[in-house]
Amino acid sequence: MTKWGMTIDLKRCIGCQSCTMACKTHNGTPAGIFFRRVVEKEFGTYPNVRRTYTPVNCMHCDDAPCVANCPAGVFSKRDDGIVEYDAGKCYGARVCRMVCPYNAVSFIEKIEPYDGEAFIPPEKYWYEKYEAGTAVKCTFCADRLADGLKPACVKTCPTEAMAFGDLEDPESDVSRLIRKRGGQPLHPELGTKPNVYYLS
Amino acid sequence: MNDAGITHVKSVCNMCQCADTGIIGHVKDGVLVKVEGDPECTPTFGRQCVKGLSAPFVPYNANRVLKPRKRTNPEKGVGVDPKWQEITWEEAFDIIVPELKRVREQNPLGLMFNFFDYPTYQFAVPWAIGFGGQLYFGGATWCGWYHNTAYQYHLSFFREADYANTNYILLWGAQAGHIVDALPVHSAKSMADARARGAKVVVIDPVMTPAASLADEWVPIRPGTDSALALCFWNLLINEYELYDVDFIKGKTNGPYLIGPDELYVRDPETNKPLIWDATAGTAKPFNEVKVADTALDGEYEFNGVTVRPAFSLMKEHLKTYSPEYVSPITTVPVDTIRRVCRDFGEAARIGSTIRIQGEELPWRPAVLLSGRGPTNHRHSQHGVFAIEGLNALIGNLNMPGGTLGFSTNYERRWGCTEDADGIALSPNSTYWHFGAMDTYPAREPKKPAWYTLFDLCPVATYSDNFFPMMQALPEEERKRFGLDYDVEFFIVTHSNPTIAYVSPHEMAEAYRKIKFTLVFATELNETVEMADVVLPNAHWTERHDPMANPPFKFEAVGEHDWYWFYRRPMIDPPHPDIKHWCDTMIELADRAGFLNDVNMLYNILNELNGSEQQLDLDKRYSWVEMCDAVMQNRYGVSVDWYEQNQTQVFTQEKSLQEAFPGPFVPGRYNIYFEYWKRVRPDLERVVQELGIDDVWDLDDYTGLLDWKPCPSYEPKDGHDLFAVNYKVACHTFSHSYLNPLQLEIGHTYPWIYGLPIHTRTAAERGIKDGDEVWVESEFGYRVKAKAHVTEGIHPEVVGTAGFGGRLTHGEKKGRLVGPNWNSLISTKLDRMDKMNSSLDACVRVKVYKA
Repeated sequence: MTKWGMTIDLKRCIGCQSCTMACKTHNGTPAGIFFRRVVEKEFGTYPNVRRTYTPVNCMHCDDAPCVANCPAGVFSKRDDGIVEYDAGKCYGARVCRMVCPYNAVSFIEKIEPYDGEAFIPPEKYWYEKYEAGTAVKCTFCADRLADGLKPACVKTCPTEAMAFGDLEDPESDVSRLIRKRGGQPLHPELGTKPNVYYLS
Repeated sequence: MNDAGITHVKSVCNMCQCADTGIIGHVKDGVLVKVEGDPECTPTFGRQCVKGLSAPFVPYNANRVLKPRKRTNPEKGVGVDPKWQEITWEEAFDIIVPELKRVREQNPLGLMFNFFDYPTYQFAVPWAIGFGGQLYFGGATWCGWYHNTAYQYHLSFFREADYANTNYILLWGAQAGHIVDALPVHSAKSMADARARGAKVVVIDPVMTPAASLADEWVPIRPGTDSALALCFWNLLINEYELYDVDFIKGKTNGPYLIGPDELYVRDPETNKPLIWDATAGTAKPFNEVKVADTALDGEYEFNGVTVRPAFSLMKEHLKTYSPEYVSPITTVPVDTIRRVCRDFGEAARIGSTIRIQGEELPWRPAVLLSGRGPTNHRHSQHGVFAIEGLNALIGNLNMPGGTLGFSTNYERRWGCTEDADGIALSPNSTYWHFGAMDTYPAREPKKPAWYTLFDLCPVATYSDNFFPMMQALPEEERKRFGLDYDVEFFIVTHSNPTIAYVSPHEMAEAYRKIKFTLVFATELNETVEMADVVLPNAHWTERHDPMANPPFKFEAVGEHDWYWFYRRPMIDPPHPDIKHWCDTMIELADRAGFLNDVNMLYNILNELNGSEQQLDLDKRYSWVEMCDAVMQNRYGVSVDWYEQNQTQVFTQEKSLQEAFPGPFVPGRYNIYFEYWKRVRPDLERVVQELGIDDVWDLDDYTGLLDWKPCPSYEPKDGHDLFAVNYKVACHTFSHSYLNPLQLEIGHTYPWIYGLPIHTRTAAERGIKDGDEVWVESEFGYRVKAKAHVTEGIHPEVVGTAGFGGRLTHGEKKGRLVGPNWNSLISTKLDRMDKMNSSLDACVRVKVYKA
């Protein structure tokens, strides 16, 4: 059985946010809503200082707090490991926002034009699948996977920092990278069993 | 988004000027809803960057210009409402054409044509020259234009690293491989691959840019002192470490040429060829008669009763001034750091090593230095660019595997380099000079300037465009001193925003309001559009048909990657039928004003169509696409029909080994001693004296040996104790990207994009805390407000701003006025400019205090 997973190579990531933009424009999310982000952090003192860039999206945890705690049953774990959501069930409790340790669930307060008073033509198509007052998040681009494509972020990354594939297949790119580079999830100590692995 | 009904259109990104990405546009009901990298586009590995992905929001911008319009408010200025009145195309032509005719009849030089639209260079230049007017290329202080001068080392207009074969990358005020620079997407992967292989990256920069933040080492430096550090590297590599490519210096540079007391070449009385000292024979011989093994680089000799020395010998002695101990207080880089980084660079070059590629053994120099705008845009930067980029020559990496590789400048992929009678390498039969940028060797004849760019006073520059806005800003009497006894009366602007892209927008608005008539081709409102008398709606790149989509100097990803020729087809229709491609409008203007035959004639000449099947009939009116098709078929043998039949946007061809790594195969030597500067000086001095501008046009930099001299911002002034600089970030390019709400949204996620990075200690000394609003006030009395971003990642003497934040247009939406506008701090002053190439100081002294 396929179990989708992702690797993010922090040695290849340059923090350019092409993944963020690819995610936004593929999923057509409203203003202020991101399914992924790049967290930057500065370390050290001048001149021995550096900045790290850590792309973060839904970790599609095996023990996902959103699945366990949503009172409306919005979130569910698919057989292929993807944590999907049904916004139609969401009544805005926002427990998911509180329990997700990765801050990977967004809540659409309202859907407004990006720029000015009126929606521009692409926005009319972008937002048709979203409703204000509901929770949304990364699905590993389940729509693209259904078409045999990789997630938009993985596909666009200019430095090829991300790989995507079947964690159950020991010969998949992700499995090999995790083995070779000692890939680790972000904060494994939280016990949610994430399926996104970081290579550093 | 429901995917039903989506069509896919292959095209080429032009979100920045690099145009290096093959894309697929997703179009639904005629609306562009998404852009992604084309997996079949091999030059960019099917990838796409943050800027290009945001394309769908641009064509539908709320500030889009949909119809021709004229101003009804005669008052012009930044933020002044032009009180637009929409007009028809016929009404627009009725205003424009008589003005064009009048200027052409009275003095065609009164037309200044400003554009920065790479896919149209082969047309725009013939149009302007056909009219008889002048050209001013936009980009101004943003692009690192003035390091291009030193790319004579690559026989090119631009260069990249051979990431596939290099082990050490020194980014000097540059961010190649980090979604800026010439090949953003291609180089990002190539750099990442190199680093995964173990290549080391060191960044020298006052600001911990994204590239610096990820480098193996960030070396902060005081702004404007980079060339002092570079000359120190020369000194150490030559005089202490002996880490330089002796054979390359002997055989491929003018280092061994004998120099007389007049600092010029000593020449053979019979052949007039420069002489080299043959150490074996103990005599001077013409340069082409001495074997490398016999060539002397050191010593002092007698020739015809005169004491002569190899140029390299003079350099060795001269460079001793630039000791680490002398340079460290200037640059603030510690002596130990200088020595370590310099030695690492020299050792990484593996001088003397070879590599086998495609069965051939070639020199291998796996260390590269790539410089950018900051260190090379200063007064005295002509010396600076050669001091910095010349380090590549010193280690012999020019166009060699592992080193720096120039882009071929020919549409036809040919290199065809030659050498002149002095044995100096000449650029190949380049196309780029057609497009305004001239070869920098040999020196041109100095003359009284004809153009406001003072190009005739800059005989060794690639271009000197920054002098136009400065001259335009000068009072008439001062301008006339330069021989410019006429007014610019007709200003055409397209794909450029010179009001905000150069110096203080208010200063430039004052300069441009003096021009009688301004015509702007606009996709949307900006600071320059609002200075226009007539605005014509222009197609956005997503709507354009640009059959020759490459920048005119870049037809390859360097090294063993393929040649490529891009083709931009429109992904969508413009949002209004009145919107046209500006080149079609210019063709119509030339036709209506009666000089289309001159445009066609120049087009034939500059694009080398004369005598070919594709030569244009002088009196026939062609469309923009037809004119492109003629050049494409003639120059690289691919037609518009070919791209359409194959439904692709890129045509590729494999390179030969000689094309991939021209260094070992091209003839000629490179200048490391600048005899041609010294040689042209008397002629230039005569012109300067005839004009009577010797009090302001100093010639002191026309020397054979390179030096560092402080730029005017070096010393603190009247309490202005900090430097302000700006830097590039992945999500923005030029000023237009600040009109895109998606790019702005991304920009807000990093505090150093719209904030003002200021060092922790510097902030504390001023009582400034992270997030405080502060004023940045420059030595010119200008000030901008900014939000402090307190960080360890910046030189303590420096504050920074990213790009072109802080737009000022009257019609702008509030959300776009993000960040401080760096250009608003600087002024167009002759004493801030390099007289050899017109580069303007990329730093300014400021004081920072809480708002």
